[in-house]
Amino acid sequence: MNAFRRLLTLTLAAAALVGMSLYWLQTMNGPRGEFEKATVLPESMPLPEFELTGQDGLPFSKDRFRGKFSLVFFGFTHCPDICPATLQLLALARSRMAKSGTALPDIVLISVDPERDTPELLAKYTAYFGDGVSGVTGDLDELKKLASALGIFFEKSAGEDYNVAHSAVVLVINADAELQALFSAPQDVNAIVNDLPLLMATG
Amino acid sequence: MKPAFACSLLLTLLTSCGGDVGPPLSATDITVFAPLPGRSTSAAYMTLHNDSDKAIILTEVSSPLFASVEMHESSLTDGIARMHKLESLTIEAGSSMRFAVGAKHLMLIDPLQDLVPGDSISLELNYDDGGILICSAPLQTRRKRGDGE
Repeated sequence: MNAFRRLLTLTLAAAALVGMSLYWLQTMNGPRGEFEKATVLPESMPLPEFELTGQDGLPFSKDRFRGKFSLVFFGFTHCPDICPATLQLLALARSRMAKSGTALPDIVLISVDPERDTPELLAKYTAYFGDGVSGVTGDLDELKKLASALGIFFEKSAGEDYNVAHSAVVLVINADAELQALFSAPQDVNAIVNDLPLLMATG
Repeated sequence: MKPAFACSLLLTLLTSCGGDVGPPLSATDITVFAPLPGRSTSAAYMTLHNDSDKAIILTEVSSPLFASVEMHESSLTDGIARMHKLESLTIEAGSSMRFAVGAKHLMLIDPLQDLVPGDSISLELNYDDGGILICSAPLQTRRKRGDGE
């Protein structure tokens, strides 16, 4: 019986050790590390030089991205469905991050419809989504240059009441004005709230 | 439990349409968003139910509070968001069709008067055989739900 009891004790101790190790491994990997949805570039890509106009009417160049992270979405104010829903989702992610006390990203709407999206209209429109949301517009060729460098497609349809088809991806621009990661559409609030602080920690 | 039940019943009453006699077409979960600042268009979403045994073709939607209402469909293909106008919309017999962000939606164009959140927005859905479904829902802001989603 004694031998049996010793064996049992040893088995239990071993099982407990394995269990504790597994738990330890899991807690080490869990909150620290996994990206839920972000696609991270193997190497962050510096933005090209560009000259656009911010919603404040002032020049908006690459330097305006420096010093903080930005979530960037290419869209337009006449889009009634996907664009406002995406901005709403990004603003929600930002307000959740604010509650948890992490650094907050700027949310930047870059217009794919400069014909209709004036700085004044963008300012009115973005204010609606709360703090930290702003718009950028400018010369169509400059917009195209920036978009194509970032792998963003957009195309205006025919007619007076035109629409603009556009990539619906959300780009993560880091504090060095580099494209670091992206969130493919449709985006998920929880994934952004989880992944962005991880990106900020590595970027 | 009672207040919760009363609330959900009230919400159902507020956001559903159709008469007492079991109309072939009914709508639930109606959401009408207010136009954003500086904009004169907005979107509305709902779920349509065809309780009849034949397909219903929605041909025209209008609202007394907007210059026009169009049926649109957004799509996301290879990461590209596109939108096109639908001339009609078929709801198969005995089935439901859900309007949603990134899919089918109503585009409300040019409000005819100043609208504020809470205003009741009436929508008239005309379908093939001369049928008409009139429903309404309070105007919502997109921010209203805040962090509660």
